[in-house]
Amino acid sequence: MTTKILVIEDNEKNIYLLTFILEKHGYLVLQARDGERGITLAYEHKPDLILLDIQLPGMDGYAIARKLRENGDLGQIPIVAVTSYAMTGDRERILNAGCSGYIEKPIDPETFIAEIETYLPLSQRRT
Amino acid sequence: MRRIIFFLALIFFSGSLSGWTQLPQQTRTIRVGVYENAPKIYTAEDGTVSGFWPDLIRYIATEEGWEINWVHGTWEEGLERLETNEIDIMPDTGWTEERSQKFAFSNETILISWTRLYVPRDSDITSILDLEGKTIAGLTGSFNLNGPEGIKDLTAKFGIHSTFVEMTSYTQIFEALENNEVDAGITNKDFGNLNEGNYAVVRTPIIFQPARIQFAFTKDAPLTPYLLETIDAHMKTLKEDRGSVYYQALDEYLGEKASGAVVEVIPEWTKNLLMIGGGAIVFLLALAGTSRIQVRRSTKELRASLQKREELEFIVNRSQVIVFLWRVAEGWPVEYVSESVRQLGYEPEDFTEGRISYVGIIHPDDLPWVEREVAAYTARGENEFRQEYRILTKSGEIRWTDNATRIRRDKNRVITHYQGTVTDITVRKQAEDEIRRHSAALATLLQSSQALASTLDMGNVLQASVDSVVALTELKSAAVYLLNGEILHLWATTPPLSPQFPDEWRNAQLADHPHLRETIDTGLPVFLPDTATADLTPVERAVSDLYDLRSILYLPLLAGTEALGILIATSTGEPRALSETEIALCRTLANLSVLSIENVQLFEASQHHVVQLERSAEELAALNVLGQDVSATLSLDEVVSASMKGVLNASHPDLAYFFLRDGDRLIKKMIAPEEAVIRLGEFPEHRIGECLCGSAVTKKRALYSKDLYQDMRCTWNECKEAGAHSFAALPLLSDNEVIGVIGLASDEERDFETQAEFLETLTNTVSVSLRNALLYEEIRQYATDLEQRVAERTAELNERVAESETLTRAMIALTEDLQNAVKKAESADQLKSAFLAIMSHELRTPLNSIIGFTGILLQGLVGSLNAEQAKQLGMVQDSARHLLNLINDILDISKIEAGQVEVRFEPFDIRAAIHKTVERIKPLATKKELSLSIEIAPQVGEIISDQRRVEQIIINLLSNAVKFTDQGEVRIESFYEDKMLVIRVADTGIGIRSEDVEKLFEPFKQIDTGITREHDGTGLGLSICRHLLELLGGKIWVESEYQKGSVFSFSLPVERTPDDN
Repeated sequence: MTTKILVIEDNEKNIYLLTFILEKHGYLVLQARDGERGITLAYEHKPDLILLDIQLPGMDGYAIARKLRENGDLGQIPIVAVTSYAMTGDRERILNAGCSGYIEKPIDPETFIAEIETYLPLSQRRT
Repeated sequence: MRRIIFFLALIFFSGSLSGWTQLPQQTRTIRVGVYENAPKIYTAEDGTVSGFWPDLIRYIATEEGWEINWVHGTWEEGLERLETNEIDIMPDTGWTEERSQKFAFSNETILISWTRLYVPRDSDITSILDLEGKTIAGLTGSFNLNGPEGIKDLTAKFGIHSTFVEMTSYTQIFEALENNEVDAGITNKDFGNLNEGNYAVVRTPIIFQPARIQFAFTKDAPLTPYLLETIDAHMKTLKEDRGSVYYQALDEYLGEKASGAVVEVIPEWTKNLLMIGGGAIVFLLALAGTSRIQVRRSTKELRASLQKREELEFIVNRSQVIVFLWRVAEGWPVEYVSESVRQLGYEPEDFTEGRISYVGIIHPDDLPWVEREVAAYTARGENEFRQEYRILTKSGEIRWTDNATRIRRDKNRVITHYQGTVTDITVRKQAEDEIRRHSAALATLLQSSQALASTLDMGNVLQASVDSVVALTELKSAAVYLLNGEILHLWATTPPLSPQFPDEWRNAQLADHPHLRETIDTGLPVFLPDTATADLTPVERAVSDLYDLRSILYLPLLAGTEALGILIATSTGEPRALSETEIALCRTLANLSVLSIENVQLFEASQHHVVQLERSAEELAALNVLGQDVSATLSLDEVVSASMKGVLNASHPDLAYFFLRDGDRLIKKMIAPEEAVIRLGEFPEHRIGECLCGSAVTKKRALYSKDLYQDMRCTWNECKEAGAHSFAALPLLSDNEVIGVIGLASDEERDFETQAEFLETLTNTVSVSLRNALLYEEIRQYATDLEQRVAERTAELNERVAESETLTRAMIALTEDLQNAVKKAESADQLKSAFLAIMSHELRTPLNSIIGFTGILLQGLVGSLNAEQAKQLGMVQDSARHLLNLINDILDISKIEAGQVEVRFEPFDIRAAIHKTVERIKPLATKKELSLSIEIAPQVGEIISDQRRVEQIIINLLSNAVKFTDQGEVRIESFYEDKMLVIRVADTGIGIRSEDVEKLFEPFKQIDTGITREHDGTGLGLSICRHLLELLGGKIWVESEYQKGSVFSFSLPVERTPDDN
């Protein structure tokens, strides 16, 4: 079965980069460029993992994570924040909003897949 | 006739013998002892072994397939044979302790039997006592002769000396009796019942030794357990079935109906008939041996009747039941009455021979209704009825009886007889009466105790007691006296006193009345059964005559051992003893009275306490109010008037003074109540030491006078002239100095001292407030003085204030400037933080693309690169990473400087953390062909610190070491030293000059710009490490030798200490 990963990211280059890496490693990528679209896709497709940027137009990443966690069906999906916020307290805010983990930008393509796969059950990993 | 029987028996016997055949192998032959004891076991005329036992044995033998070998002999021979195992079974054996030692017995009892003593006709033996010196015949070996409770045993127990003759059969005994060879003989009841009619013998009422008759077996014979078990099993089954051979045999031979005892009255008149019948049978037997069947049936019927009659008589004569048969005629003539009528003192013949009529013994009061009822039952056609009435014994005693009567009618419904049982129920009647009386007494007693408990008035209590005595007993009058010293005072009587009642008996001196004295002194009742014969004092005599008293009971009212008084109960009429019930009731009532008296006394005592408590409560309330009033004010006048109010409320004097002391004078401050002021008129001033109030000052204590007229201390006359009689002078003490006096006067004689405690508490309260009020007066005076001086100084100060205001304004301006400066500084700092955050974020976004895509390309995910492309892209990647490090380091350092770095302490495994960081550095070391080794002391494990920061420090040191080493090795070690964890990173790199070591940990202090550039350092790493270690409670240091290598070490506390934050 295909492992679906939803990427919520507004920066075109970043979404291209993440999609490229993930697809190269055999994952099916769903793209959302804002929170509303992201939540809709999450409801429709029940992805296996959500990669979430924090600084987004409209609804920010914290609000998206909280919204997703309110839904019982989506409550169990791991959400990993991929963000350039690196100031004191950012990490705590992200985890408090309901994210399962946190990867600081810039990402390292050499280790990125290994890092996100720690949030997936063995059966759904592609490497 | 016996000869014929014998002859027939011989013929039959030989006939039977000829019929025997060889026994089959499996057939058992059981040898059974036979002796002559008709009807239980005997040899019939035709030689057949017959009777009750043979029938039973034959039945069992048929069931079990036994052959029976009857072994004839006497009873004694039978027992001997059984003992020596010549026979297997001996039937009809009575169980005794002695025999049970010799033989085995069946468990099932087959018959119950007893023994009867027979005598020749015309013998005068009727009781066991008549056997003295007589010859008695018994069966050899039988236990009714020799056994326990046998005739020998029995006579010996009565001290009777008789001679005993042993015979081999009961028939011999009867023959001997008939021929007057012996004076008496004993047989078992079954033989006797059957044969007594055939011989000239007479039965006596002497019966004894009831016994269980069972099968006996040879003890310890091999066959015995089998026989015992088999016979018991059969007997058990047979006894359960009313139609079995057992019951048939009982019926046939012993006349015992299978349906059990049917109690039926056999009247005396049938006796003669039976005797005639018995005679007729003898005659018939002698004449006609041929009509055997007919004879046998008649015999059976007669046997049954005789058996029944005997058993019934046995029962009736020993019971309290008297059986009567009355004829239907005037006066109910008695046709039959059982022997048990003797219990009433009458002989049966008294009735049967008409000397006494039955109606003559019925109580005259009961006779009319008894006759009426009998007539009514008879008329209604009833068959049975019951009556309870009284009859008179021969000696004139009255007995209650229960009479159950059956009306006998012939087939035309014409009454022939009344037949009935009369049972003495006197004891039951008495018990019933007793119970009824007791119940009534208890009910009344309950009412009395409720009445006694419901009143707390002594007079009512005692009246209730005497009323109860008369109500509960048959006594006619009662009185109660209470003791006061040596005199008994009359408190209550019932009925009410007669006007002639002597006064001396209302208040009786103990000394004058020995009976009263004795009752009080001993605490025991004194009872005079008959006043006619008693030794009475003249007053007692007068009272006794006045009320026609006959018996007098003096009962002490005891509280413990102390007599509180006397209860007198009397009866009139015949002299009589008081019944135990009456005495017990009087005692109970006396006790109840005492309880009630004590209750009343307690109540009165508690009433007294209540009054005292109420007064105390009033005093306390007054004190409370006073305390509140005087504490609430510091005004002297208010303290004085509140004090007076309190005194008036709690002590109610007719007159009260309040003096204030002023040196050696007492100044009158207040007189209360208001009307007293008018009454008192002019009141002169006291000096201390004068009169009671003045003396109270010098003596410093309260002085009380009950009578001013008699009191030498009262030297002024004003109070007395105003009507005062008693007085209290209460000093008001403060710090052991009298500051005032309160005087209380009463027009009536009164002891104020009884209230001393309260009054002194009151004066203490007043004293404190008075003292405060006086002090306040002083202070107020002082304050007034001060006010003047303050006003003078205020003007002076005002000038100074004007000066300082100018100064203050200048200060405020300066402060505002400073605050603005601080605000500006704060916002500059916020700006800096915001700038850094934005820079960090904004720089990272493009770097994400650069590093990300470069990485993808270098990984070959897009397609393969040639060597030059890979080399150049690698350079881009290195530069991008360098830039990222730089951003991170700047961010770190600025966070540290802004104090924004937070460390979180959590337990983690430092060993694992070291391995993890080494793994991350390994690729770099491998690239430079450096060896990378780890050495961790065994005890190093979990510590409490910030894992992320510790790893950051280790990576920093390791990457520095790899960066600055071109050959050799990088080594990381960890161990404990002085309770700190030490991590050391050693390299064989370029080393540091000693003069540069100090600058090493400063930010942006490059040691050698050339080197820095060559080695891609940001120059911030070590500075960050030092700051982080400060936050973690550790430190960092370096040892280095230039061109040889460096050792960077840092220490960490193993556990977080309270001042770590």
